[in-house]
Amino acid sequence: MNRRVPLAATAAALFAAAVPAQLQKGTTAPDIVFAKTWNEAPVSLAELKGKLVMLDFFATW
Amino acid sequence: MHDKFSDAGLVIIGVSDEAEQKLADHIEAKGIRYPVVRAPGAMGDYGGRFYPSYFTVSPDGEILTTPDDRMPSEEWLKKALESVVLIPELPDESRYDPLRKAWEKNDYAKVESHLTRTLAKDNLDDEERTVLEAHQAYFNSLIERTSKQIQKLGEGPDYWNATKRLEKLQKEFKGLPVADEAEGVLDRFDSDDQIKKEISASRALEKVQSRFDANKISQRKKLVEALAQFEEKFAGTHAASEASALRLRLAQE
Repeated sequence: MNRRVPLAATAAALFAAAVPAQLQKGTTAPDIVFAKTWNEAPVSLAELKGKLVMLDFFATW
Repeated sequence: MHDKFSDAGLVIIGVSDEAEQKLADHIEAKGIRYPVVRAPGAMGDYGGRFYPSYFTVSPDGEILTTPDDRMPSEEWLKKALESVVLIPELPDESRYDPLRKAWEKNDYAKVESHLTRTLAKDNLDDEERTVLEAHQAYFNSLIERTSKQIQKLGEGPDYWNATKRLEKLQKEFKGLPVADEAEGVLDRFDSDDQIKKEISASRALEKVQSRFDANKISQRKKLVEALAQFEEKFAGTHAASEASALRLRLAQE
């Protein structure tokens, strides 16, 4: 019985990961943990609680 | 823009999933001085579909603008910053550790009890009193803003996202009167058939969206069809208008 819970949770997580619907206004911004940072960036988005944050998803190309 | 508004509480972060060396070279070549991070997967998590994509996040973690709004203008940022109340500095001394930890954990009941208890001591030195009083003022303004936010969430029309935010606030402010305010609004949602209908429509829309990957052209067409069906079935609800907006956007791309 107990085994079914993590299985279901994993399936939901996999499914969600494959589905990039754009997040909407008014929803909670999911935390992002940064793999590498430059110019005194924090290590995660959560660390910026209390600030207005503008995320600029950019490409170098 | 980052330099201009950073003292007022704005942080602009460049987010990319490209290789570390590539990013390092780019930052140097362009002379970028604002924070840049490598975060594989984040673009997907946020559902950005093109570059550059901007999301603005409020001080308490709410998404204020999405790429559909393009880049926020200077005037917009100025206005948004008026509502930013910065958490006062906390000196890097061990006597402030309990308060620091309570803030970090979003354990607001603990923040309040710590502040009240410590400020009641008569042997407090001037510096500590000044620091703690600043934190108490900040805490009071946080409660005031949260209470207003709860009221606003209760007005709809996005009752499903409001439910999720209210549940989060209820947890974070557990033990404080604002948590009861959030609970009151949630109870009202629960006893209103019209709102319950709106919520189940929004949940159904989430399910429709999660069935298709909008980044794959073959699935996008199916999603557009499913959205059109959804609009018909749930006509008149907030979710139907959201579905319609999404469908039009997908059809344009």
